[in-house]
Amino acid sequence: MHNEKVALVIECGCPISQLYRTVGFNARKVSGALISHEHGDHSRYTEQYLNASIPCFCSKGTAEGIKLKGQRKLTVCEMMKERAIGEWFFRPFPTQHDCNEPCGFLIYHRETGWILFATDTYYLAYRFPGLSQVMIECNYEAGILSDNVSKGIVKPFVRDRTLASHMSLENCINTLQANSLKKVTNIVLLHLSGDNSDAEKFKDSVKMATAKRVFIANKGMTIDFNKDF
Amino acid sequence: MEKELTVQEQPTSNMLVFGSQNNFEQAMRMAKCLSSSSIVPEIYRGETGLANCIIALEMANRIGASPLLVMQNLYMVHGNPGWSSKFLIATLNTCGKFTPLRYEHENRETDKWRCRAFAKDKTGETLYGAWVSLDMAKKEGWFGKNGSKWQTMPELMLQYRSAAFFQRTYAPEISMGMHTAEELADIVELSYEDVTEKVKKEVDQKANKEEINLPDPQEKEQKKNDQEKDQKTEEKQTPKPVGKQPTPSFMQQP
Repeated sequence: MHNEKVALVIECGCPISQLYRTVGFNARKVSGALISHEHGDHSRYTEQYLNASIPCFCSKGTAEGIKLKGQRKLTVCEMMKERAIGEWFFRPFPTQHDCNEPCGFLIYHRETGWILFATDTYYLAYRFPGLSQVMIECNYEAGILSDNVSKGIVKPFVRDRTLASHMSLENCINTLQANSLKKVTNIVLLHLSGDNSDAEKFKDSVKMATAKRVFIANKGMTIDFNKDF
Repeated sequence: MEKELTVQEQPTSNMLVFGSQNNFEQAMRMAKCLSSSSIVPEIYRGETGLANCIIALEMANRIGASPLLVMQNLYMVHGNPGWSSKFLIATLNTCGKFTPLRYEHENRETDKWRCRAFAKDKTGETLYGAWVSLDMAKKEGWFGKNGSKWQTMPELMLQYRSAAFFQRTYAPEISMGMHTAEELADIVELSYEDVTEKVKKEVDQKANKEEINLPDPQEKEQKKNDQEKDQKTEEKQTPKPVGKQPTPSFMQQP
């Protein structure tokens, strides 16, 4: 996420070269990076970010799970404790995934308002009143997943893992509806499964349920996160 | 300048698809043709089936069978490729190394029913495969599964499995390391435990229960700054006694 002056990286799953391109090669405006858990698609390039002197924040369990070769260390955050980096404020909260101490983040910037970032979790234990932006996982649809298992595209044990570590369309809608979305301007659906999702259907379903602007996160897309949009 | 005639070798029928670039290109052309056919099974059709066609061509060349035969007898079971048992038996019967497979049954229609496959090799020696029994099927968990064919057609399943065991020990090159589709259906599902209810219960009990308050951090920061500012101005307004100062040396009287 970035404006002309500051940027905040969410997850270190992309090479730093991609970040540089996104921020117009102005590395100094990057305040820091947040990592939700240690799985490769979220933390593979952490070392590159640390070597570029970008402070990376994560939970204690995640810090233990990410294997670093160099001397630079991750900054461990306490769950539910608010922290400030530059113009950003963030608060990690626990999520439910098959790894060590995963977390989601509540992020604040005066231009965006409170942003909920929650991915790789099969449910959220909390409600968050006063959100302005929502970035939430919507991984699979139960019907598509069952079909794929019966066709042999998805193995049964993978189905087990998906159910107990990723958020279904149904749970995603329930989570959104459990929260007050009065101030919400954008809902971004993250982490759609390649085999078990239907992007258009997911977008329409969430739109119908929330009456908000809904996006499916795609590589290279730009979304205006201004709270006064 | 004399023109020399060179003899160009014709590609042999036993073409190894991944053996050379030429072979691969040739296989690509064949695969394109096969993937556009409506007779081949669905996993081989269209753009996405092209790669599957190439693999099927490679397999067909290795075992000396027709590509269409391979395609129609190679099944995907829970994401794993496996031969149909009847194809495997047919390949064994026609490979020329053995006489056609035969089966020996013991204790038919009882709990101790068992079966093994046998055949004679070129020297006339009889080769016996491993015994497969209903007891084994029960212990391995093949028998008790929902929809298991072991309950409805045990004789056929015993013969299929004993043929697979025979092939694995005497001619493993025929199956190229793959199981039969029936075996895969039996084996792969073993570790499966449906967690749907468990997950649903947990989500119902714990999801969206606690509320997190989100104060405006800017206001908070502003208040903190204001407080600090107030404190500073207070400090400025009330001068603190400095106490007795030492007299500088130049002012000191000798």
